[in-house]
Amino acid sequence: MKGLCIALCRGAVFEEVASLLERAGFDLSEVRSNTRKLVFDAPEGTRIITTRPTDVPTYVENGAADVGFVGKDVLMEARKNIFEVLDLGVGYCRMVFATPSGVDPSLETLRHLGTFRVATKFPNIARSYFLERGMNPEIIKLHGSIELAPLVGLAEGVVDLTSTGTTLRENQLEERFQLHEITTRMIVNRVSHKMLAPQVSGLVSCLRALVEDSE
Amino acid sequence: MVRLRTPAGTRDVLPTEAAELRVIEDAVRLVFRGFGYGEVVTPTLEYEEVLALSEEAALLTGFRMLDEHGELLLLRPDLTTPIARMVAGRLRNGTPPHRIYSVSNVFRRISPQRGREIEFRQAGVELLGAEGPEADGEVIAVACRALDSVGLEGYRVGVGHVELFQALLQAVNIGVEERRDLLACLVEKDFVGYRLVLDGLNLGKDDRLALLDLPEMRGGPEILGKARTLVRSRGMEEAVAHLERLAAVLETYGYGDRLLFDLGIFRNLEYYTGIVFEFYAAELGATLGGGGRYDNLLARFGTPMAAVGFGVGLDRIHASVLEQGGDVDSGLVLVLMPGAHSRWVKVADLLRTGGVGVFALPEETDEEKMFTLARQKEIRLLVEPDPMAQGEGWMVRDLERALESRCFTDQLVEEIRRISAAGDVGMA
Repeated sequence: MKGLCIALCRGAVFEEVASLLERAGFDLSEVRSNTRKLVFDAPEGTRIITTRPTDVPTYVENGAADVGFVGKDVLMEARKNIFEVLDLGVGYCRMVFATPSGVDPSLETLRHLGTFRVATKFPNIARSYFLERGMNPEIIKLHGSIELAPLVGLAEGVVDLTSTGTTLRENQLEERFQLHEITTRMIVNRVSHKMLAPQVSGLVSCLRALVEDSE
Repeated sequence: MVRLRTPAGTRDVLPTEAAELRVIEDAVRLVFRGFGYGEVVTPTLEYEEVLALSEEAALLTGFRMLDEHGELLLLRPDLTTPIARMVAGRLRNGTPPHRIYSVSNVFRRISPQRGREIEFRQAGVELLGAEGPEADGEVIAVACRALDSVGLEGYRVGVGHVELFQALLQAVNIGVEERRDLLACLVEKDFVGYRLVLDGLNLGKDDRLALLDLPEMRGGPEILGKARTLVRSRGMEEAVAHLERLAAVLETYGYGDRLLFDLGIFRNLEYYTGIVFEFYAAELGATLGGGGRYDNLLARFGTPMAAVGFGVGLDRIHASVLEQGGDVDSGLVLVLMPGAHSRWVKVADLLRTGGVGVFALPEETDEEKMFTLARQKEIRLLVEPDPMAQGEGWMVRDLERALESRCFTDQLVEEIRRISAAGDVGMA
């Protein structure tokens, strides 16, 4: 039976996903010890690749990886044609709209100028969220340190991820509302989902049991 | 400077690729014709208001333009709907069954970030006015024969039945809105969202389990046995029986092994009423194509008629065949021939009559240019007058290998074929 090619990303959630996979019977010792290597061949034809989070859906959509583990934020932003099969429940955080504390400057700007500016790493998510609610703010795509934008007048507010709220508070930003709750998801290529059905289903039910156990 | 762009999602197809695509298209057409399917060509532009009769929202999101009367036109969004429109109109009084095929470019507006094509070439067949597993099986068998004919190996056909899930939804007491939410999740292939919607419903344990299991059931014939345990209504019973009979039909065509039953196939078109299927090649991350039964579509165009059909992407078949190292060579032997459009027109025509393509060059073309052209145009053979012979003598040279041979005009076609074949053996 052909093994699965699994795409993982290193970073904040790697530990939690890796330990789930280990409990599902995968040996990830080399993936853990060698952080420079990108491709790891495991027994029974399983292969593990490590990529940036935003690249995981791309590898999976194109079939370069059969299965991937990545945050719902990345999935929503990328809107790929893939199967989303399991919520691992790990890597929990929230995507929120925040503006400088005190009187909400985005409302002020909206009143005077009919629009406002939102800085974010997630322009697609932010745009569709606001559009669905009849608002059409100017979306400004940034690649990091989103909190800076309102401090220097680039935008009235930000759409960003937060888990504890510390970063927001340190930058005098106040959460105004939540857009989405985020957790890590297991995704599957649409052809692998069919052609490698036994392997995929096996992994899903094994992980689901582990996830439900820990709940 | 003007950049010589083509719109995002479109591309020029150059001779090498076009020739390979043509080989695939010709093979596929031959199979379609062998089953008695006749080709039709529908307009590239359709009236939006006419295709809108299909009530298929996904088809109406394509490219639109206005004609001089201000009527909305739509670029052909798929093969099936225009054929349904045509059959419901022009062939309304004809005697069914109608076997119809078409090969055309279709146009879809696809979010640019996906990097997919907005124009691509599809080949498809529609069998109209025929019902039952035999008709469904024939259409799938035609597709399989077409994939076989281009040498594709290891492909699979996923087959499901939309009635199974629909009937389960009806048997279980769920509101219209929740039904739509559940289906939307499945079309989006979002099983996490699907579970979330289910969790929000007040369902009995058995109903919940049935709704959880059914869309994830896929595998061999044993799946149908499992599906039977979920049967709640006559409709579901009939759908399972239909799939069993379909499997038997495909067995007789020799395609039993290709089948993957998959009760979680939800294609993004709402017009399907019975079986739905998709074709997969392991080499490709995307499906080769798919189809299904759409018994209600023609009624929307005013002529109720059962129908089943499929479409496959020729580009995707091409990519899969290449990935497998398959042969997509047209077999046409092409030669470079200096003077073929001046001094040697008659000889060149003799070659063309004999099935050898001739690429004419000026007589005085120098050796270096000849080699460059041979490389760029992928033409290996050069035909020129034999300087050693008097009058009727020719020299055939293989520019990639040190092969050459001399002959007279009347043996030239045969000699070209011999040298060309010798070169092919050398390559293998």
